[in-house]
Amino acid sequence: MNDLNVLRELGTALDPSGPAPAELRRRVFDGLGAAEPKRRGRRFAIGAASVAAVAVVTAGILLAPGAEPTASAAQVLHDAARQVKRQPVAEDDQFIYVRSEVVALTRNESAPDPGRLVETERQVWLSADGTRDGLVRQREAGGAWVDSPLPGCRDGVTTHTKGGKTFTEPCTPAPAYRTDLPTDAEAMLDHLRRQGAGTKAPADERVFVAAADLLREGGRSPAVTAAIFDALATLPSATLAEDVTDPTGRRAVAVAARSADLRTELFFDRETFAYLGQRTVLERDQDGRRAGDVVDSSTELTVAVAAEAGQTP
Amino acid sequence: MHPSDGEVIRASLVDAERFGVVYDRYSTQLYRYAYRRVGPEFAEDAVAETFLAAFRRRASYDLRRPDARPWLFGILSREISMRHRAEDARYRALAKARVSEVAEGFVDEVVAAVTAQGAGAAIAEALRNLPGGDRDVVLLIAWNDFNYAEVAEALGIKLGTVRSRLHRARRRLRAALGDDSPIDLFEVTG
Repeated sequence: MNDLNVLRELGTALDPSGPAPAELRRRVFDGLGAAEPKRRGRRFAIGAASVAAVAVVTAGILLAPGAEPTASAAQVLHDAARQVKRQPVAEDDQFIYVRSEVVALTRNESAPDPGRLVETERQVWLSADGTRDGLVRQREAGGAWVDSPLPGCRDGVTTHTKGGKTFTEPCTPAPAYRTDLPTDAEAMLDHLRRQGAGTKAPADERVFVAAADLLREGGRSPAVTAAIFDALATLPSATLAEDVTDPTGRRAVAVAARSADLRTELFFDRETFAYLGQRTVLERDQDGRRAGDVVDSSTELTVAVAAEAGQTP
Repeated sequence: MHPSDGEVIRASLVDAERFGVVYDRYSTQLYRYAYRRVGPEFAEDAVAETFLAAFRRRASYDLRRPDARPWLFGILSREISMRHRAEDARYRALAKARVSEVAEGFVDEVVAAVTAQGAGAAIAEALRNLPGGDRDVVLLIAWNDFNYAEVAEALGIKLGTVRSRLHRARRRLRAALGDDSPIDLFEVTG
């Protein structure tokens, strides 16, 4: 048998069971944002003249509409940090359950297209220590729930199913909470500055956007989330809007940072200051969309501990 | 209208989001290739790093090149080489796979079919023992239908080096299969 044919057969046998995971796409697109904040950074690459203009406009981040001087953004963020530390922490053999609603702008790239907003509901069960089989259950607006397994890693082996057959791979368990993130405010601020580096947006806004990106991802321990809020509380330019509703209609307070193009808002419960979610809003007309239009949002409906994957707490 | 990769990358210099088009065009084949070589645990990382590295370096992309595939596979090849331990472990596991383990659901049925003949196990072991540069060449050709010029562009090596690496790799693969007939290099078109 021809060596290249044997090689090709081996290649086919090693193929993944499906397309590249949606998680990979999200990671890359988030990365494009972090490397040179997409929606935020695009104007800054056009040329020196517009860069200078942007720098002038965004030198001071403006007050969000409805801002009140009575309570400060920093206070809300510190309260939110205290609140999140009260969240239940999963035991090794339990699951972290997050139910969320994500709205994202999808666009046909081959034509001038203002895009449309696609809403996805997600339920995720992440094995706390990474050894048990987790689950992602999601549906697009009006659609049926679709389950995708997240195979756990036990005794250095993970078992996948492909076309009804199972096969195994060596692995190391991936705990639900990322272990590579700082848990104190100062180190977190450094981390966010590094994440936001390399763009020409004002420094505070970069940090704020990097924090929002991190909050959109799962896998944050309460201590990490608290460190994010405490780090943001040190930014003098963050503003507070006290009487707003979050993207799902819950009454909330919002802490925001804005550039000439976009406003990034974090929502917190008005009473408990629990983190509710975030959204990005256009600050001026662009790409066929109007100032005030929402570009994306991500809202956490439930964060809880579950004993089994698939079990709704 | 279907803009070339070069045009898309040019547009992404002004509008970073446009780089997403490159992802949508190539993620499937890059992921499959990475998955074959380093397995599910590391494929996602390797491909994510590839796109982010490509994005950072897009200003240095030769915009006259309409096809970004060799460029992307070149970056991915470097990402894979940084995960050589995972690749090594993957081929080692395949080389060791035996029919008894198949019965226990240890490996996929297709792998079983290949390894049961002994050919798959032998070639996995041979792949494992190839120098990294030779493995890059032979796998770009066998698994992605690259021609010599594309391999040269992807890996940044001369055409002559592509030929000599391929020749060396195939000699060793054939030896592993117990085939000592001469190699017909024209099986692969340059």
